Amino acid sequence: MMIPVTELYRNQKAQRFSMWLALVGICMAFAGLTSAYIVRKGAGSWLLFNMPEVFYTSTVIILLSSVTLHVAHVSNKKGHTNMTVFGLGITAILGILFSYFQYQGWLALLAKGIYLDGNPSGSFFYVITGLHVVHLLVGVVFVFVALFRAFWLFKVKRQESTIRVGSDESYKVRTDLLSMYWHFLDILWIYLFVFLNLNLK
Amino acid sequence: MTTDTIPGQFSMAHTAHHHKQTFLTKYIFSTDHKTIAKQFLLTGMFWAMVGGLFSVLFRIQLAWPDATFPLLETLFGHWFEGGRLSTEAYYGLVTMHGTIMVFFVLTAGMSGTYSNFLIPLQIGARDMASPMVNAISYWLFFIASVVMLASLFLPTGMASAGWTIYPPLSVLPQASPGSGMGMSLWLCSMVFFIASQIMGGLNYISTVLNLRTKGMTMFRMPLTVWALFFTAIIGLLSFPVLFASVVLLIFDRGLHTSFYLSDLYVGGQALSYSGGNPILFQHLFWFLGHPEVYIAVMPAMGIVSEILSVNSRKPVFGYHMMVYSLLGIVVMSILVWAHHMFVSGMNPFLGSVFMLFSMLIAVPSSIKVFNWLTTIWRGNIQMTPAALFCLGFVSMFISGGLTGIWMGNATIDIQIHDTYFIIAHFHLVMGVAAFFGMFAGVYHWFPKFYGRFMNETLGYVHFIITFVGAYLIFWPMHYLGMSGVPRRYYSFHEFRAFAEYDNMNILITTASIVVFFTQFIFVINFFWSIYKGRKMKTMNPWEANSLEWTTPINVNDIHGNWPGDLPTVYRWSYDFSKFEDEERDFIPQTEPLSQREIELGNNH
Repeated sequence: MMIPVTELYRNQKAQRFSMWLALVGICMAFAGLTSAYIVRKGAGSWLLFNMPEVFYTSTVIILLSSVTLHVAHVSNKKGHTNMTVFGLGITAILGILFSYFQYQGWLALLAKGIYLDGNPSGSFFYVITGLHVVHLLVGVVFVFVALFRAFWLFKVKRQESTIRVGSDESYKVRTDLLSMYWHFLDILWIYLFVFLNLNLK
Repeated sequence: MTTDTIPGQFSMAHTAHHHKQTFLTKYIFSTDHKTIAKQFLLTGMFWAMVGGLFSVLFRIQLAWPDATFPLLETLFGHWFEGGRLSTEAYYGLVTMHGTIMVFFVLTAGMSGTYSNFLIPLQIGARDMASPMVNAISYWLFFIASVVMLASLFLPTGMASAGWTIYPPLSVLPQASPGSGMGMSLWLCSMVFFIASQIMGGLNYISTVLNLRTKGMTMFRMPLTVWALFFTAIIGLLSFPVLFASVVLLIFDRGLHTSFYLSDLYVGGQALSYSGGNPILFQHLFWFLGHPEVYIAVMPAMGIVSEILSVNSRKPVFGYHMMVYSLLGIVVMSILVWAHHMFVSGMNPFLGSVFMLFSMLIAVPSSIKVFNWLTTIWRGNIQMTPAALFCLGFVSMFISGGLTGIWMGNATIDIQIHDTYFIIAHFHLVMGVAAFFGMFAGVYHWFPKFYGRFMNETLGYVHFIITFVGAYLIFWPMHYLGMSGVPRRYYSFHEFRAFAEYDNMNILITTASIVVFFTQFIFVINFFWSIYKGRKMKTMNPWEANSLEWTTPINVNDIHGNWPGDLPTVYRWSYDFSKFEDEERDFIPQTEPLSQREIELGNNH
């Protein structure tokens, strides 16, 4: 059965919209956690500590990764295959680097004597940043998937000239979804970074 | 669709015409929304029987606390050691009855079945926005089901902290036998369940907003779709918060953080927890927990609106008000959660705010009841089993709803909190009522599910016994509750003041046993009708207007629902008995406006 272009287009629109809804869901989870944080902080006996400086480095890294993914995304739309692959590769590396620096940040906290099972202010810090990293690592997996698909579609298949129009279209939708998710996690981290910084001082 | 087509990349393009389908691809790992709906329905029916059985088992303990039942020991092993239900098993069964009924049946079974089946069929879409995500949603629910089922067979017993899993019972493995592995599996199952519900929900919302066929404006959609759409929105906003609270609980259990616990002594030993707050869990839990009751009942509201209109051959009364009242319920449902916590030690001022909103939610609810009654008023009522279950729904919803208004007062709630009064209230208003909506939907859409009809006589028997039985079970509980009989107690031996209710407990239990076995009539009818039921010969047996009845009789063999182009919609779905002088009393949505209608001015 052939699907008319109008129906296909509507379906792509629906998939982009579904991603927005998924982001709303993630927002609600973190809204729940940060409200719990505020409520618990208001009850007193709350340990105040400075955020280790490593987290500033990781903030810069995640901002950079958004830029590189955007470069990949734009190049993909223009059909610049090499730049797409390059941008995706750098983004994946930056994503892993961000997770590594978050890990370093937790080690720095431990060195300060802030433990997971200590005062709830520390526990909240670990859980909230940890849940964010888990989401980001899922993103990294999908960056790799996009990377391999880009290789497959634009290097292998195109040389065999068996590529179909639909594959390009589907790839564009997928990279759209990926970049929405990634930029969202970037913005979410900025929110968490500001929120935690304001509440720890 | 000849020139401007491109090869479809999306799985909705793969149809039976192209692929030879095996049993596995057609019935098991299908991405077709109709198959997924049936998977949800069958899994939900399985869980409903398990949940119902559990309630009968603990009701037996409440009615005959001193008797022994060797037969039950043979059947259920260590739960009934010596023929008597053990205390641990009693609390486990109570917990599992709640968990299974609320989450697995009335959330996944209900929304999963009807959202999947009706949304694409009634808005004129070929499938969900993301069929793959939709299939994953079912399989995550399946994994959650398997984990929960496994927890029933643990030698240490299933989770037994109540379906609300309040800490510290749910946090400390030493609190009760069921708080060990049973609770861990419960939490694990719920994480899968939440993921499943979110994936399903975002699909339902996205499909409704993006994939409506030509002419299907929002205000031409059947009320079923509106109700399922709003249900999905509530789920999307509240399930992630439950996820957050479950994550913190898991950390408290496994990694000894102190989110919910503080300064506890067990067996004279001080625990390491310090600085946590159990009320925090209650807030996070009820932020989902209250909207959850609307997740259970709102699909039933939509189903009832649709079926009552079709079966009284009249348009739904106040269609727009029906939609706005659903919207009102959505907004208010997330502003009333703390009315579950009036006795928790929460600030009384906060309590009065939540009391106000709880009372206000009666306004949209009564609008809906009024509109159902005016819909059937002077209608040409067709007493099908589906219509009877809808009338049953309205009856249950009124009976349970009235006590809700009364109990929303903090002053009254403090008196009857955690008594059988609340049990009676919520079982009538969201338990039995939602089940009635679900039954009505099965009887009504069974021809669309399987191309055959269910047996009507068995349907009437099922309805009458269930309806009378439900009142016999839950009506007396109001009196128990008003006299202060507490819920969840294993036995009342130490409270001889309640001895006068022993006979009432026997009556309730007897009725519940009868009602439980009556459900087998439904199950047998269901499976018998799949193979032997009267065949559907016409496309539109109920003479309804909505789009699902414009699909072919063998729609289940077509992934894409309509073999040709998608239908175009010219009107709302409730044009019943529009012109008295016309022989046909319905006008399908796909029919263009007649000259006469254009002259009169069509407002939908």
